[in-house]
Amino acid sequence: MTSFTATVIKQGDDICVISISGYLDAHTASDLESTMQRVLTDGCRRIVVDFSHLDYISSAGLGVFMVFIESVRKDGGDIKLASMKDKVFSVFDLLGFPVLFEIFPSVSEAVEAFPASA
Amino acid sequence: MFRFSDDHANRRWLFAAIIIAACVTVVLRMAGVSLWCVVAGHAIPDNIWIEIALSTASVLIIAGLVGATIFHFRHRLRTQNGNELVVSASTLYAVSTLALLLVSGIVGFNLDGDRIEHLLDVVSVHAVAVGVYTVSIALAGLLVALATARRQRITGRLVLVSVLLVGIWTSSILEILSGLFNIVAIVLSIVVAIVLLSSIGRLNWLPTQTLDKKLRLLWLSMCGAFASAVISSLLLFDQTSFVSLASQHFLRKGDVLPAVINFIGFIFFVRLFIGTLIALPNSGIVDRRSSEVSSLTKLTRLVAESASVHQLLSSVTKYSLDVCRAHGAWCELYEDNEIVIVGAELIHPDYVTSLHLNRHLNRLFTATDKPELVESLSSSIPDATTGTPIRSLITIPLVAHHKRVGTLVMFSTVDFGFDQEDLHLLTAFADTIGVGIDQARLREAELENERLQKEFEVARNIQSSLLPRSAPKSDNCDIDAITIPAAQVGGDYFDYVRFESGNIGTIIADVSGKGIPAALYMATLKGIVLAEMRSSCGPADLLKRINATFSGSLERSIYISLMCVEVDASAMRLKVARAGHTPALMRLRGKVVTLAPKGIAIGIMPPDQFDSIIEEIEVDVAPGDLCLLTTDGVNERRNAAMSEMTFEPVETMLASMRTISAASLIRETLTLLDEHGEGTDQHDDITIVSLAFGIPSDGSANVHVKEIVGEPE
Repeated sequence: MTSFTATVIKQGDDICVISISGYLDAHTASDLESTMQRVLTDGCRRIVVDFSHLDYISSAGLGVFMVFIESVRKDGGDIKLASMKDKVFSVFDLLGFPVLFEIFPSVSEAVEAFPASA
Repeated sequence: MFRFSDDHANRRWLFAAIIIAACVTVVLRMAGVSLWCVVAGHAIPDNIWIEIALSTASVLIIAGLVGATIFHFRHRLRTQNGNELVVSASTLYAVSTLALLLVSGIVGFNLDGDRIEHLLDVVSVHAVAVGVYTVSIALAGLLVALATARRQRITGRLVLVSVLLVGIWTSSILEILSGLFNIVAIVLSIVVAIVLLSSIGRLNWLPTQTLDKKLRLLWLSMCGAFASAVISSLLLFDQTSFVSLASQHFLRKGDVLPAVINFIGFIFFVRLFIGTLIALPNSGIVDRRSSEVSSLTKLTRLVAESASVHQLLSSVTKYSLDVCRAHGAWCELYEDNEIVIVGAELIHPDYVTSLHLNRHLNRLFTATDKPELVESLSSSIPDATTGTPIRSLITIPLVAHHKRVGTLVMFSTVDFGFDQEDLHLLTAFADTIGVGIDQARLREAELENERLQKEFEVARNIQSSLLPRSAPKSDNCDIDAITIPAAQVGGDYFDYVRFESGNIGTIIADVSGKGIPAALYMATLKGIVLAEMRSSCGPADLLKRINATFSGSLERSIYISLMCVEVDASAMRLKVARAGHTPALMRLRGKVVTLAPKGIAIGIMPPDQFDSIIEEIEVDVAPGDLCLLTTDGVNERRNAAMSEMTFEPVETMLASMRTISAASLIRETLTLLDEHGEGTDQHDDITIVSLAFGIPSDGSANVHVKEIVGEPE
């Protein structure tokens, strides 16, 4: 049934890649939220979310990214989204999220998009 | 053996009748003796017929006594257990017998052979004789009752005992014929004793009695043995004693049966005495067990009566305090890394909290995972005693649902204030309390759930009352709408608006998330729409105003997608603006198109960016054209295989639709949703607003607000 997993991989010095898969809806949003919280508590401010295995996203799932983006940007970091399936992207697109988030076709492009750390 | 009516009143009447009959017979007999001996001056054996008459009266009296005794003990056996029966009957026996002996010793007696000379003697002879028979028969009744208390087949044994008793009496009368009968009587007596005493068997209720009950039994059995020994020896060996003479006068050889019965009684009382004496040493264990059992029973009742965890722990603490004679007690619960003091007895909760600052005490209270007894705090952990009067304590960890949830602490202000027994008892309490906590929590959750359900219902009613009941009037635009919430309260919203220009319009929105937060934002949105629509010059303007009003006040994770359509009915022109909402579907002159003007959802961007992105498009419509606004609950309706419906079937339906009305457009869409859903639960709210151009809307109630469909999530 509706399953969701979020795994964190450290890439380089200060970039965290969160790979999410399955269904991201009102029930599983809290899982992602706690994962994000953990990553932030660990001090990571450069986050790439890998959407390549995500099959579905609901409005509550989108809300999770909105919760953190402001504070991450205030600290000089960013949350970049990468490698979305067309259907997932269209949900983002319809809501106008591309204005708020940078969305990349692949994780590596998203990682490269971060300015070299000082 | 006898079949009595079960009616209690009947039995009482029969009992009273027997007693009265016996008394009357005694009086009649007394009158007979007075006339024959005192008035006429004869001795009783002078006339065989007089003797037979008097003996018959005596036998009748004895029969009455036997009957009354049977009644009495049958009743006792029904209402009392072995111990109570023995105690009460022995007390009665010992007191009556000793009183009888006392009376017979005091009352002077003047008997000239077999002739009674004075009326007073007649009375005293009868009183003592009837007394002797009463106590003897009652004693026999007690022995028989004990012998039969736990046996179903008692008739045979009773008949045997009765026959033997009559046999003893007969043999003792026939003694004058041959000395052999004397031996027969003695043998029969021994047989009766064996039959009765063996039937009584082991007094197996004895060891389970508490110490004070055993001591009382010891004293009673001593009194009983003394009384029965005195009366039986008087009857057997002292033929000149008043009791012997009186019973012999009452019935020929009338002293034999009371003597036998009382002697058997003596053996019984001695046996009871020895049995009680032997059972004395285990009294401590029995006492503790019985107090433990009664404490646990009381505790179980407390647990069952408590409605909440706090109430339960308060009453349990109070009760444990009494049971252990502690100087103070409290219960602490560990909730969310916080220590909550519940039911502090004879100690202030704040003081308990301050005790936790002492790390030795804190560890003692919170860290131990098994019940612990600290007999002397000052000798085992001297550091823990600074600034506290606590000198000895017991800590009982409370476990509910395999999780340590708290501790029950009993303390005393003196060293060695508790012993191992207290620890044992409280340990036994701990499990019951744990179960009680589980139960109380379930009850609390149940009540809370009930309350939430009610609140949800209220919220749902409020929410559905926020949706418009009727569509606006228009000459050539028919409007209809429906919303079907998935959860009890949802975040979908639609409304009809009227712009500054006077044109009507419609708005459809979806607040992200579900439940109460979404419903609250939906209500807020309604207020903003009502406030802003009349000063808005078009859909894009209205959406900008809504975004500006919400800006900064929305919860960060929440956003609202919106779509707004203005209908210029006279010019047959639509203005459409979208804030991140699901695109609208239109049929324009037979061609199905998707309408998705640029725009981002409300609550994502500050007003300046939102305003710069939002776009408003104009569409010319002709009669027969259709417009369908939906929320994502429509295109994302899933079936059992989790596949979404998409807009494809809706587009096909739009293209081929013949009947042109807003209501039929909604009906067709709902049919498609039902077909795709295949009866599975609806995951998201579904809202549809439909517009059909070229036909009038009468403004009647054409809005369907459906009740909940599917299970609330």
